[in-house]
Amino acid sequence: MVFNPLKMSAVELRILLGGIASSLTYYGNLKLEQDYAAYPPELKQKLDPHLPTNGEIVAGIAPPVALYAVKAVARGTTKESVGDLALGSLLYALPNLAEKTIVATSQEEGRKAGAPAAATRAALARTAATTYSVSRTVAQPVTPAAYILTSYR
Amino acid sequence: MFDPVEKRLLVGALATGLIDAGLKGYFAYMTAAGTPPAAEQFPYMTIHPCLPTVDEWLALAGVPVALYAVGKGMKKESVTQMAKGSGIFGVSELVGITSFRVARYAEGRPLRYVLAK
Repeated sequence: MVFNPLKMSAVELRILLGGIASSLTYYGNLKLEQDYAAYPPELKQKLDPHLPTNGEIVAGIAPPVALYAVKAVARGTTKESVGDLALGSLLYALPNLAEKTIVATSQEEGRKAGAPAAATRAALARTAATTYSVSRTVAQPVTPAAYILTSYR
Repeated sequence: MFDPVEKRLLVGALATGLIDAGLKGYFAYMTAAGTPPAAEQFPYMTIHPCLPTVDEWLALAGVPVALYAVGKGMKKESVTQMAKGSGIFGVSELVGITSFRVARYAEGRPLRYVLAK
């Protein structure tokens, strides 16, 4: 096996190209999701908080599904070539979806873990503001004894 | 559905993905909890705004190289094939992350870490 793209066989190059195409599809979708105003809101939603967004799932699954569909109807050498691209796409798509699901789960669990601490910080901030305002409005009592002593002299 | 070679490729790719998920998952967890890792904390350091972070290089390039070295050292073709699958996933993910980072940098909005919201 060689890592040098110039020395890879045609099959290995096609598999690698399939993976790269799948990756660019996923990150292209992510860019649109984050920056494109007309991105469909349904694709920004999640079926479950522990899953990636619907758009990420679709962008992850679509390339290998499409390529395997093309392979099913292709004939001859095109079938083999498309099959290699589809395998490369699948080699990227499955681990990518697993990885993004783990990351989404970690984000959700982190959000839950940080929520009590954030609520406590907010409550403490409100208490401090209330205490501060009360101490400012309470007038300090004046001792009448000081005036009596002065007038005595 | 898959022949033994394809299965080994997939196992290698999944192994790399899970290791990368562990590193990214920790970053995502700590960030969501309100205590993100410090900017220069190993391994989440940034080499350049256009390049993947160190943890991404470790997982996506380091794991394939390590598997390849083990496969060649032990003279086991199965491990070398796993390294190939690992390398296909690793290179694809590095290309995707780099292109995303370059696009954001070109817009003047560089990212510290590439994570979906």
